[in-house]
Amino acid sequence: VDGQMSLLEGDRSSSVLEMGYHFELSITDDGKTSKVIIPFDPGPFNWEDYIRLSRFPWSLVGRDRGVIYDKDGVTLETLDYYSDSRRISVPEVKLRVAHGPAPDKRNIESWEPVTLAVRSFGGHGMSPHGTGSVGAWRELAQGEIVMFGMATSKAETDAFLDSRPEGPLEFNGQIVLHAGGKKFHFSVDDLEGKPPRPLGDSGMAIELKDFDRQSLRVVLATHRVEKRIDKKENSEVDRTKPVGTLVLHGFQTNLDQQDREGGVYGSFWFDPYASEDKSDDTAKKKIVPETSRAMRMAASRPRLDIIQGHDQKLYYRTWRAPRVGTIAQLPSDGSETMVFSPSAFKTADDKTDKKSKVAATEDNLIPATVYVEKFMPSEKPEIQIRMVPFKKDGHKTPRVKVRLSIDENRQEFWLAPVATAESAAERQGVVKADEDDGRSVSLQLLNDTIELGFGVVLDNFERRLDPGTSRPAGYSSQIDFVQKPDSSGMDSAVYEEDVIVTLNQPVSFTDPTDGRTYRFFQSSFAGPYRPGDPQFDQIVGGNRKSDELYQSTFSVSSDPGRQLKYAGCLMIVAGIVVMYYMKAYFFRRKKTAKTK
Amino acid sequence: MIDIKNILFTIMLALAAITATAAGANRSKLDWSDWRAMPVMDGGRRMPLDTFARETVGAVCGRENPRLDIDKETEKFSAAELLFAWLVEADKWNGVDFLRAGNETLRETILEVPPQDEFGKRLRYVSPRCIDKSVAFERYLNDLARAQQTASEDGTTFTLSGEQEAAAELNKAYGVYRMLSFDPRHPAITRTQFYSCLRDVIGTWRNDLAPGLQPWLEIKREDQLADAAMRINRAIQDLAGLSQKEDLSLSQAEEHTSALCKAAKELNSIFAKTRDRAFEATDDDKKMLSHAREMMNKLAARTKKLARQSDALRRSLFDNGRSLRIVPALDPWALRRDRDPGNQAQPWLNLQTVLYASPEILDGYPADKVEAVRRSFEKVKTVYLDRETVGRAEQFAQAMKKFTAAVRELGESIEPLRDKLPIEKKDDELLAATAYPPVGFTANEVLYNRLDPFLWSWAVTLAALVCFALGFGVLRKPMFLLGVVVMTVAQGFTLLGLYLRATITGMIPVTNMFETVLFVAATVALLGIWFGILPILWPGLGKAWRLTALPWRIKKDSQSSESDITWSPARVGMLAVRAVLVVGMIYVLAIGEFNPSGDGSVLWLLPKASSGGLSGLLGSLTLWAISLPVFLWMVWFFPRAIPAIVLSIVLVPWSLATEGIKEPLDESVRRRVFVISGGAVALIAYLVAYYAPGPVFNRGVGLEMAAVLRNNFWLAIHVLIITASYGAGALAWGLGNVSLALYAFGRYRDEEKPPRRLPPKACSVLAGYTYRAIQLAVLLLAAGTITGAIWADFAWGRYWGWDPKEVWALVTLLVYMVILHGRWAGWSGDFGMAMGAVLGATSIMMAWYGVNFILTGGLHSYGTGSGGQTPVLILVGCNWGFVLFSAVRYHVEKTVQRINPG
Repeated sequence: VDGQMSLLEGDRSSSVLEMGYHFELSITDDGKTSKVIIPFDPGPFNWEDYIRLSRFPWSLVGRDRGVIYDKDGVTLETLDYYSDSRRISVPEVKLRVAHGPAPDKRNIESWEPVTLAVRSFGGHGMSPHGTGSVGAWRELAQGEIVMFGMATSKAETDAFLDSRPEGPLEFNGQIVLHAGGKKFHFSVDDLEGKPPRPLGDSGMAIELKDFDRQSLRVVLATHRVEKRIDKKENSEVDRTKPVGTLVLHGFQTNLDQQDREGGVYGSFWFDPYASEDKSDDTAKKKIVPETSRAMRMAASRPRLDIIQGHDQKLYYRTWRAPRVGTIAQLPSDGSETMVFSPSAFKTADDKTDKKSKVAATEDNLIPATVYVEKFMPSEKPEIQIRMVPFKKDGHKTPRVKVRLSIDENRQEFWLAPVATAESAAERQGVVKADEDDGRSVSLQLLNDTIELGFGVVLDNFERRLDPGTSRPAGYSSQIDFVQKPDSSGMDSAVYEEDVIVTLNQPVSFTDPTDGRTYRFFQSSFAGPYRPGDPQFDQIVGGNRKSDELYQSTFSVSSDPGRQLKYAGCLMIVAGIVVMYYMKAYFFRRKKTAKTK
Repeated sequence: MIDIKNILFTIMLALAAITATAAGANRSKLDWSDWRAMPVMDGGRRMPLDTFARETVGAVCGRENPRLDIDKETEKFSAAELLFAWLVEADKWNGVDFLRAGNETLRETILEVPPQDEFGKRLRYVSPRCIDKSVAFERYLNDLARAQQTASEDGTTFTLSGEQEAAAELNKAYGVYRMLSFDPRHPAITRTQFYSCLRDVIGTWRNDLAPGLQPWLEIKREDQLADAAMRINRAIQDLAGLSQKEDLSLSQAEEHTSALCKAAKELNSIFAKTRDRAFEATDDDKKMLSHAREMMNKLAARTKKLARQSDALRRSLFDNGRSLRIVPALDPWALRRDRDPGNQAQPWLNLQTVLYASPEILDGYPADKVEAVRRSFEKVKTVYLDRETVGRAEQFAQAMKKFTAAVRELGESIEPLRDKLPIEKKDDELLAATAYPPVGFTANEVLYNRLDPFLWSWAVTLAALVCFALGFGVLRKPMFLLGVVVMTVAQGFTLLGLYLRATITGMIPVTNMFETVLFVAATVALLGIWFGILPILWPGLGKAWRLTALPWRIKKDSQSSESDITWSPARVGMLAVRAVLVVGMIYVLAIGEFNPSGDGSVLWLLPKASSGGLSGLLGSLTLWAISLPVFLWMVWFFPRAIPAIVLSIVLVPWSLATEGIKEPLDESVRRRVFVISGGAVALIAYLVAYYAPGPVFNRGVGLEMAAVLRNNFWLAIHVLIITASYGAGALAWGLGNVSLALYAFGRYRDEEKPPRRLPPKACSVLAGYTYRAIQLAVLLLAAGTITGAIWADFAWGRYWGWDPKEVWALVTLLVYMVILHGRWAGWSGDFGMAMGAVLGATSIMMAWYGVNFILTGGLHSYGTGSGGQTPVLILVGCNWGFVLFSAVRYHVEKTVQRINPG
């Protein structure tokens, strides 16, 4: 036995995690579930390394690759293994931004790095109708904003490229919509509190559901217009049926939701400098509070919206209230693009209209240069598993790619050990057989564990430092060995109390149930967690009086043959001594016999 | 101690001619010995001020005893004196060039100071004022820091150019100097520590506490809590306002921080009490109670943090980081057993606090004694500055004595007060380790610093080699004997130095690269001497061994030898001695409780009772079966060996006197290659250890040892054996290289029957010697590796973890095994032996240096780092070049003979 046991202060545990892994395959047939344990030895390296360094005789190293289970139509095949991996969201883009005149690219420290990724939520979370994803939104050092999102169809990409508003904007803003290949402009003031408005001949109509002045968000409901024959009047009447929702933002555009099913795409623009509500409704005027004004000023900062189009290219548009600047493609080959140049925001009627205000916006506009350092396109927003190059030490997150099939239904997916898995999908994979069969299989990757016949309770962990320095002088844990709680739920007996395990001073304990002797070594620790940290609040909270919480990790080993190993060692050394230095002493008689 | 000092001093004088540079006489006329020996606390241990001064001055000036231009004169300063001068004459030293800045580009392009003076002498220092004024230097450092940060964000490695490294070093030197010479009374002084502490306090108050306290404060009761919180708020505001000003008023800052500390402490005690009440309370509403308790945990922990940070803030007014800490502090935060790295409270007070802090800050310290320290320091200062007085030296010595005595009195009077401190989680060990040390505590270290024993090691070894070299010409035997004696003395210096280091750190002196290299060097030299003079010692040793034998057996065996019978009564006496020792051994091993793991005796006479069923029983039986023979052997062998060794001290000279010294001496002289190559290898190792630059050899004495390796018992057993095996391997390497030199440059001879051409005769003798050395290396390496595995099992629960060090130890062992077996089986001849010795040494080099400095990693992380790759690779490459050259010559000679017989 050779494994690890991690405990938080106050925790009790009796299972030891070993280095190895195994699959647990649950086959459900007519409500009955049977479990199969399939041992899995992936070897120490990423499987790609075996190919990359093919000169080594890897065949000598055993690893469970390929079909490792095949019975009754259920097949488990391991396809790939990463000894260390991480999850990344794609599409992802890494930009470098520099303000003012563009510096030399070699002078990398003068370029500000910005990494943006669209994160998927697996169909849940923030957007019930959309793709289940949310874009990224970052603030640059000079206060500008960069947004990154994605368009899934050509129509959506076109809508982005043709999203420039028309005419002077109003204080409450303008909505630019695309449907059926046509462009529509609506003033928010005009829509508020009105019935659905048809969008040309696209067969769609929209209705303003909500306008949140605080966060500059408009929520639009889309309706499908259906021609119904009104029997009474015997004429065609337009009946609308709500189908989707658009959520558009004036500031946090990454949270926008387009109505992809209905094919309606939009953008929301506003002018913080325009005179406030035109309506005479004083009640409405009152609603514009101070915070909303601050929000508008924040949202009038220069903003760079970038999307990945349907063709997996990058497009961008720039915004500086109250103007939309350039809308164009963003080269992803590393060539530089100038954004926020004042000239991009100039229009023909600048000279006459709102002269002073526009000038004010241009005064403190610093042009910036952007280039794409790295772009990882993706067809849909998703989480991909990336391999981390082999490293010797440190924490690792292994993942294995498997193909699980039952009869003709097969599925490929990544699995992580349950203890370290980061999502439900990689914790367990399920494949169902055809419906008439009624069978289904589910698969989990588990650490090999050993159940001890007793429990270990960590009372206290302590770390010591050399006086006045932050150099560690040693750490120790105070543990109790206790009886495992039985089903009756009675308070368990304590075998040994307040045992101290220190570095260099392991503790032995004999399992009273099977007579095996285990040794506990202080191996590492984590923490301290303090009140306010999630670990502390979850475990300690208000249960006991405490200022900090540590996690202590022990190596646990049991080796009944230890003495034999010692004997062997001793014999090696004794053998060398005898051969080299005491030969004469031992073999004297033999020699003399020979000479005689 | 004084005796040793005198003897050493005599030797030093005798050898001064050889090492003229070493004596490095200090021209300062003042007596600094009391100042030097004063105990201070730095880097987690108590040390003499001398060591502290050497370390800091070394960091500031680049050398421990710099030669500086001051008052238009060049003067050499000792580290201790310079430190004192910085403390009392800060204004003057601001304008003196002493910060290390030797890099020419750095001087010319960034600092804009000339790289040479008008006489063409290279300048290597700049003054602090120069750094203060240089805007370009500041900008350069900022750029450098930004570049490094970007590199670390991108995960790329950033290598410093020579000039950048020099700039970083200069900046560090400047920082160290500013911390040391920090004068809290100066209004415009840079208070980095104070501002960082203030930021911490403000952060904790505004982010962690103020929002959580709102519910209490909004009730607006006129109670203690609201009052304390309000006072904290006011103090923080005052301090923030104060820190905005150009010149910080010390008295105001003291006032506000004291108010802050008091209020924070009050607040903490209020919440600690409330928490106690919350945990005592019983309420039907469990959920509500649990929530309240959680809240109280949070507030109690955070107010405690605020109280700690406030104390740190108050301390930082007088303490700006690394400084001269002279007496224990009454600071409960520093003495907690589980202090965490965020809490940098110092267990000792620095000089500035003692001298200048207000009575409020020094609350609890005996005021009269503090006053005595202040007065006596003032006196020393006056005497030091008054350079013209008659009898300055005597006055200074007297004043300094008074000052150190006053400090000692203060330090000792604090001790009982520390015991009464309200320390949470008191730790007697920690208290003892930070107590004011007794008189003479620092003597060993002062001696170590002054003596510089390893300088003598190499110098005297060199002298021994000179003796041997002379011995090739004239006075063969006397020179050989003299050489052996001198070389033994040199190793004595090394052992003395290592002993002093051990007494200072309390660890077996093999904790870093520097110490292991020295240890190996001494081992090589002593092994060389041992093999070399074995013929001289052997008759006496043999006699001693026989003398300690059991009387009746020897009578039967040695009828031929007349002399043995005459010793018979003595032998009976020896039997009594042996019997006493046997009893003692049995007690130590099987009765007394000396097991290092703390459970009972070392070995058991009967199988240990086991509770673990069959496997447990088997285990304990096996253990008993092994330990019993070991026990019996030890009990039989050591009681005989120990008296034999003691007797041999008398018997060796006696036997030489009676049986004549000529023959053994001739034999020894024939074997002198052992001694010479041992000495040469040792000399190389000493020189490398003493002079090699860079991070590989950290010569300082300290506690850098990783926590996991702090175990003297196993350190002694495992590391000493392993390093001794490296010593044997190094001896083999020396011998191998000598014989390679013979192969390469020696005179080959022809043999008639069978007709063949042979290398010099000495080669085969040398191969025999190499074989002996490798045998020893194999034995020690095997034993060392196995004890290492047992330690690993004991400490980490595994025998073998494929740690780089373990793997390379195994590789080395296997290499040597192949060499030995190859020779035994006849695969390789004498030349193979020489080549094998070099191969073995190369793998030792990898296991010893390479694993720590090229592969870097694993648990054997004593003295890891990087650096020195190039010289080591060049050295190894040269050695292999030499092997190749010898091989070519050897091969050519053999082939030539074959083509042209006769």
